[in-house]
Amino acid sequence: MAKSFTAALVMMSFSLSWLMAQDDWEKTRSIAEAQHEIVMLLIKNKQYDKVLPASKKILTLNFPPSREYQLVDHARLASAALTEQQNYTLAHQLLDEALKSVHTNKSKATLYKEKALICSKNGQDGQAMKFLEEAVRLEENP
Amino acid sequence: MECRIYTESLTALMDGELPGEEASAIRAHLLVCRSCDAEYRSLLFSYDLVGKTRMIDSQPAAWSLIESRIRTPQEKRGFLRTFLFPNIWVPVTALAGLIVITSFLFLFVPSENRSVAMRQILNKYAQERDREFETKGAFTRQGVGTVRVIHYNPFSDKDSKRKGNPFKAE
Repeated sequence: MAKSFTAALVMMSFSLSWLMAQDDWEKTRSIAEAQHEIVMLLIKNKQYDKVLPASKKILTLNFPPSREYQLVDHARLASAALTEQQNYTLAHQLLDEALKSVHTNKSKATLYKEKALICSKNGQDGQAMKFLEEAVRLEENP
Repeated sequence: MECRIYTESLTALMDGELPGEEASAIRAHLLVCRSCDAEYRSLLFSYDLVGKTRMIDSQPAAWSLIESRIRTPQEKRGFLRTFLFPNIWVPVTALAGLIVITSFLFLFVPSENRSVAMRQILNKYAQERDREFETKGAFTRQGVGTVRVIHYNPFSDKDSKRKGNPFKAE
């Protein structure tokens, strides 16, 4: 009886902590979701000076490694939108900030490819080659 | 003119080679002429410096060695050799320069082929990215590599259950 009671207590504590973690994640996700919309709206309205601080709010949210791809997607979407408006410098800055926030080589490689794509569109083939080589190097060492 | 005569005799005065009368005349001139006095002091300083130097005793063998080096004629180089290799460092430097320039061109200036290959890779990446975003959310495609996102938020939770209407009457 006492053993089963202890086991039940342990299970309860585990599920409680899991629920709390879920709640924390939901909070983080919700903030990021709203902040991403803000970033995209700022880009759309050409309020470039506010883009980087708004994006940093997402990038500093301490995403778990399993969710890092969402940060990468955010950076890619924002930089694509900036590139469309030919603001290559800000697109690079945003990607650089994202590079600081991600930890896996796969994420870094994707961001470097994005940088290479921007350089290629901007006519900086030499620089694009450098970024692409870096991306390949990171992909080879996952 | 007078000063020039005096300055020419200064070294003789210092060496004590002048007769007494002439030496006295120059000394008297030095008392009244600043430029000649400065010249005399400068000469005195030089003499003092020379006097302080230490003489090195050279060995007799050293002199014969120097003499033999001076007298030995230089090796004559053939015309062809002189023409082709004027100095060994010239071709070596040219070769090193050529290697540096070639490697710079190879590393930093992408060739046409490398540029084409790179563009192909980047186009492929852009197409994959477009496809990936297409599956994740709605967007309009505006050519390869250009994505205009309408309603795709990477952080939106698609699996979350719809909450009931909080204002619904119980």
